[in-house]
Amino acid sequence: MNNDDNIEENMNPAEVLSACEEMDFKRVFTRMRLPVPDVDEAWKQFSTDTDMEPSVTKRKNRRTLFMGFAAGVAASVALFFGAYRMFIAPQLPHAVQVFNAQHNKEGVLLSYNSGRSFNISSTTKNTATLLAQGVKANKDSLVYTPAKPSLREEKLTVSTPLGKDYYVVLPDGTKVWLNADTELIFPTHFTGARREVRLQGEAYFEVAKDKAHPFVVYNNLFSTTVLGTKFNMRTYSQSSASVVLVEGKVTVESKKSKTIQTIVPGQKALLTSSGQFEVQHVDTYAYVQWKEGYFYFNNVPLVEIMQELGRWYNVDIVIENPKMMHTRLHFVADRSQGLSEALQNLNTIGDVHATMNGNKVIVK
Amino acid sequence: MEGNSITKQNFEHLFREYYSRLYYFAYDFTEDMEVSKDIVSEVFTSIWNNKENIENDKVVGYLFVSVRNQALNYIKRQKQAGDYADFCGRVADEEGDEGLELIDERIAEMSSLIDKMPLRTKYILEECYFHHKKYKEVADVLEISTDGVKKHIVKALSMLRDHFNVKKDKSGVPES
Repeated sequence: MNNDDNIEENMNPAEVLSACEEMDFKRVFTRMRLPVPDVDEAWKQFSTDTDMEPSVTKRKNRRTLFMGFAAGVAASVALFFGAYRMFIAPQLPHAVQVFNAQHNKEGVLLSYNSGRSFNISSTTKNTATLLAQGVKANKDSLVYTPAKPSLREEKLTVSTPLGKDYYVVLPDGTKVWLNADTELIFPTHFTGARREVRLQGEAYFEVAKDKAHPFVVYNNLFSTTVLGTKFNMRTYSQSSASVVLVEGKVTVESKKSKTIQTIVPGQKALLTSSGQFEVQHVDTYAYVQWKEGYFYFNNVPLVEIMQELGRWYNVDIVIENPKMMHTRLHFVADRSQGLSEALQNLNTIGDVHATMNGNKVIVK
Repeated sequence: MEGNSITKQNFEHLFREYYSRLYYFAYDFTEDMEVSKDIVSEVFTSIWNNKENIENDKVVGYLFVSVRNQALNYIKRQKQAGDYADFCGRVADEEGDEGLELIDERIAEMSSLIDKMPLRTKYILEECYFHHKKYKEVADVLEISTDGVKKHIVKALSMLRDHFNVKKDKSGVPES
């Protein structure tokens, strides 16, 4: 096993694990990370394969997506993930709207700074035009192939509306997954000593290695400089932004205070209104599940969960009892399912009762 | 004894109750989701085909041992897996054939203990034991020394060993 490489001579018995101990460590993470199998589906398959008569067992009305730690409320002093502009509740218990839907739902837009703009999620009529310019785009992704150097360098903006995520490949091969309500600005050619892009919203980056040309992501509050790296940047709020590093190395620099901070994998750099970076150790897994198509909230306040749901499903969110906003929940769900299914899942947790009323979700 | 073999009704109950656990148990060895599902299905099929000959109170043990045997066979058939196959064999020897259905309880307990450990420790444990990274690889990424990585592991290990040994002493019965 890998640990044999880790064993040296004269090793302290306290450092040597039995095979069983090693396996147990693996088991902890297997049960934490692997999605629970669909037992209903497995039984259906099995009873069909063995020609068994279907019995009249009551079908479970929801799938538990993750086995493992107890769900439910924990009044722990865990880290407050991310930073959102929070609506402060007035003194009396009074319903609070924590997310506002957008009413003119657009598709994914591609704009050139020279003024041309294309809706790339709707039709294929723009395909040929864009292809001639090096843009291969469909409703889910865009790959930008560097055009001939004689073409004038331009800035491209890809923006996603609420409810849609999108995948972009930049001229240098860097892969970017854009979450909903996000804007990425990048040049048609990376010229100069640094590769520079701008982000507003949330994106996960896998930066193509190029030691000679550091990759820099600017948001409204700080810049992040990287070499070959995987990280998630989140800047929905006006007053705070964060970077979570999965692999590689990044240095962040605050626009306002010019403070610099370097982080290593497993760390998050959070810039708040103080202008100083807070570095925290985090479970990076939680920060990248959105790009895999899952909501993954592990011990997260209800208000944050509801804001994410609002952003993804483009609905207003009202929390009737503001005291519930800080209730922490464990909630994992598939982003491809519809809003009513997502709410059904949420409601099975027991502390939450969410209903739909038109384009509004009301949480009791 | 009458009523001692498996009926169709309690078979479905058995399937639903143990499927997930057996799946994870298989996955721990095979590290392949589809293969694990196949193994668990095959084992349930063989039990179904053999149900007249299996006693009710032996069936759970049989489920776990069969799944493990199939998983070990699968691993041996993988060409590059020499060291890993040996490792799995040692795990099987150390754990024996009894009480395998209690593994999940033990893991749940470990999980809640590990959950309380510092995030860096959890990161190191996950990288080393779930992602099979060497201490040096993890140390390089975190920009700390290999000894630094080891310290986290030893600390976690001794905390867990103390916890489970204390349990053993208290109950007077060896932990499974």
